[in-house]
Amino acid sequence: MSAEALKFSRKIDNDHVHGEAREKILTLVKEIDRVYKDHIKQPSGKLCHICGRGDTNEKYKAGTVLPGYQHRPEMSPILCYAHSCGWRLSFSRLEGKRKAEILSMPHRAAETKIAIIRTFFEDPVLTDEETDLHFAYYLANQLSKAKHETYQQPQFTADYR
Amino acid sequence: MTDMKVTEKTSAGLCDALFEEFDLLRNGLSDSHRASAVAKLAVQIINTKKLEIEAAAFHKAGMRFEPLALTASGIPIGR
Repeated sequence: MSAEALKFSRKIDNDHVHGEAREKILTLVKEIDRVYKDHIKQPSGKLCHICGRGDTNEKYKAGTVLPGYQHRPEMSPILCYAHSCGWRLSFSRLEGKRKAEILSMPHRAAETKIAIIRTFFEDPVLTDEETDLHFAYYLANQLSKAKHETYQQPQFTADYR
Repeated sequence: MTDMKVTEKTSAGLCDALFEEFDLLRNGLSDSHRASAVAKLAVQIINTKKLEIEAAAFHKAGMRFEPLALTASGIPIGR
């Protein structure tokens, strides 16, 4: 999507597009920008299933689609920014390890990372079952660290608009 | 008779059960000791399931497993 936006911006930044057509395009671009910013400013209204916290700020919201769930967003658990970062790290480690295994190369070696980018890039290698199982493992780890005092009643963050 | 709570026996069901434990913890209906016990049990289940998945992958690749026969005298260790 961002690549398309970049292509579009290059296309309209052209001397041949001038006058009324340019004005019309720029008005539409401004309208798109306004719709996007209005959407971004809105709180997600979601609470983390682990800690019960809401959005951190307008950039870091709770409830973004987690890695491993992009092809089934309705199944994606709702996590706050901090917990989603933890999951992202844990998931990417497992995925990297699996990709290295498929390539029969040592995990964490620089040449393995280059080979992974060349061969798979962002292609998924883990099944849904493995993703769910690894997510359960991540949850179990979080649960073992849990202290009652740090787990308060769910609370939405203040409206930051 | 009260309805007994049954966990759906899938990986997603295990996640749901763990989320429920987080809810109990947040609402003061559970404590860190219980949470720790539930986490340990979950890890055991996950490890068993991982082993099953690995075995299935080996089986798919054509590897056959011989059943391990345990005798009453046990298997000698350290030889």
